[in-house]
Amino acid sequence: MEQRNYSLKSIAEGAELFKIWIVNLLLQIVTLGFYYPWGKANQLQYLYGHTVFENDPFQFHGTGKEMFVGFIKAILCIVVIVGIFTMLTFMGFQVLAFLVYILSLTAIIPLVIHGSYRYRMSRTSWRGIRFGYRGDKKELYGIFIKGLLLTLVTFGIYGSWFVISIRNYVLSHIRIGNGKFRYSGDGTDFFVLNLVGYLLTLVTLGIYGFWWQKNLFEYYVNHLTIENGEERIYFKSNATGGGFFSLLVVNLLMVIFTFGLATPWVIVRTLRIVFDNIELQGDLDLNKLVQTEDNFTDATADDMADFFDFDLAI
Amino acid sequence: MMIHTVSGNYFDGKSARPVAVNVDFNASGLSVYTDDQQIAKSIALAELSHVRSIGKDRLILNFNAECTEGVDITAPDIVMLFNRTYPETGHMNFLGKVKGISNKAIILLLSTLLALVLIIYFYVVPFAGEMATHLISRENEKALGERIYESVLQGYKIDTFKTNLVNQMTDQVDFQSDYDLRITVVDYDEKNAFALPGGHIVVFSELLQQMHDYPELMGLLSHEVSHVNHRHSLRSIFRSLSSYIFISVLFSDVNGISTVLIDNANKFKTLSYSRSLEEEADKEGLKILKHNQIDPNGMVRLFKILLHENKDPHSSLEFLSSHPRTQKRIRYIEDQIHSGAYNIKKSPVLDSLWTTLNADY
Repeated sequence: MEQRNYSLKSIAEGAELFKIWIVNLLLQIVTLGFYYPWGKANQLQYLYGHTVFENDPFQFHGTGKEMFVGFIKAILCIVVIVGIFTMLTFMGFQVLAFLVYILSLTAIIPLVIHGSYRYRMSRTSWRGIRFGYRGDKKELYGIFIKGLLLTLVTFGIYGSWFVISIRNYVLSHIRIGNGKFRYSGDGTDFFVLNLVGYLLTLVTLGIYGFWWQKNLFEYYVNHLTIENGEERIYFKSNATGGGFFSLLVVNLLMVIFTFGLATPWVIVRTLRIVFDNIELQGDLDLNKLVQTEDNFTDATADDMADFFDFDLAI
Repeated sequence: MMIHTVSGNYFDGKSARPVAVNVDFNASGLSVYTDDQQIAKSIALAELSHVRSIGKDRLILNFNAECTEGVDITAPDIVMLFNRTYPETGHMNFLGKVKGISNKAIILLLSTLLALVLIIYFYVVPFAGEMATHLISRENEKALGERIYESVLQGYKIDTFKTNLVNQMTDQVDFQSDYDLRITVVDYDEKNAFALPGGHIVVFSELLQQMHDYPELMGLLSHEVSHVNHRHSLRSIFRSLSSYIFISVLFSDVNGISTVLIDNANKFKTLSYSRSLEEEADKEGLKILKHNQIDPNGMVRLFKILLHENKDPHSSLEFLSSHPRTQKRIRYIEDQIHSGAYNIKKSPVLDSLWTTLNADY
């Protein structure tokens, strides 16, 4: 098949998202926060449904009820960890309490990554074809523990290789039907990128930070492909440092001066700019994508990721 | 009922390949079929699992719960057409309904939300904060006061002699307090005094030096003891803490900056609350003086001392903001004195202790 371009864009509108957002906010206040999972489902449904790939929208069909179960589990989990921490502190074992706290939080991270990808992917589809995450929990733990230990021993230097190894593993286990995502980052390149970014940001008193962001974005996007047999789609970033500067600064100003009321417009604006800066090229025949993934329903980790504010990449 | 026919793309849930189909909207549901009748499906309304709209011209209908099989229709005003054809089904999901809300309704909603937030902020949150003070036992309050006392007194020099004398005087008066009152006099060149939770009261030596007789000192102490009796510090702390928590929860998904802006506004609220607490302490302090037959004019003279020639440059700002307030308070106390009958009896014990205390200057 000929090489061609694929289109990916957000057609969400601030005013529409605002309606959803404000109704969610009100219902959350009235229900003392318990509406949160339903609100999140509504917002995800809108945003996925207004992101179009080759003019066809994605669909998120997770429900508030599913996410509510996850939400309750996440709260219980946090209560238990904080409870143990408080109890040990009161009993006078400060050091032990701190260790248990840090260790239990660390031990949860792979679980959160695994669960949130599984749930989110299983609830996402495009042209009726489900996404899926096929990573293995044990393998992820293996990579995580090895990476964490090496990062500690090298005083953080290994961190770049650690992040990339997790990213390579997780993203390379995402499927859209028989289409396979593949991320092939290299720890050394990523380390150099961050080292240069860090030093130049220091020297330029932070200004280079936007270009550093642009380089990170580029690194995340450019190493991603979708494969089906011999056919591929390549992702390429067209983002610029100046673009990142105006995106982030304007977002910040919008949020501050409206006390957060502009949040929906900020979300829409960000998605539009992000997708506009990703170019897709390749020879993959989308009509050959067929259904392969099963259903899956545990939403705990999706909420947990929200709680600990992890960045769900992709 | 009229049958509408539109064209769209059918997805079978097995492959991503779109198939061009005709879709008939008829009374019982949908008919989805290709021109060559390779695909010919009848879908009852009840079988529609999801109805989604994009803008007003695009409609996506799913036939199973996993949303894999469905039809994607693009036609002018198709969303309106669908809603008109099946008005009673209520198939539009939450998003469809929310998108249909008019701007007027949104403004109304927004005002309701704002009103709700303001009511919660000004009435519910402070009330909840005050209620929370009841959860603190007297023992915990004392322990808290003790900790604050220790940290506050660091860097101050305690005048043991005067502290003893003032405490002896305090023992002569019935302050109607359930707390173990402990007065500390510190050597400091500022006219000030304050009460901590649980019974500690700190008086600066400069203020003591400016006083002329024991009713003035008792005016001060009765005011401070009222702060202690009515748990003013604890209430203040809980009120501002609860407001702060409310604000940070409300703006948690935003950033710290808005919180800082609002937190400053919060300070004004706290200021007006602290004024109402001062007034309460004046009033309750007067009651203590009356109960002990001490001249209430001592309190008036005390305020005049506080009003005049405040030398400390650091307190100039506070002085500025409370100056008219102080005169108002003096007038209020004078009114209270005139309106009630006071039995004044001079206490020789207090007078002699005062003389000893004052002789030091």
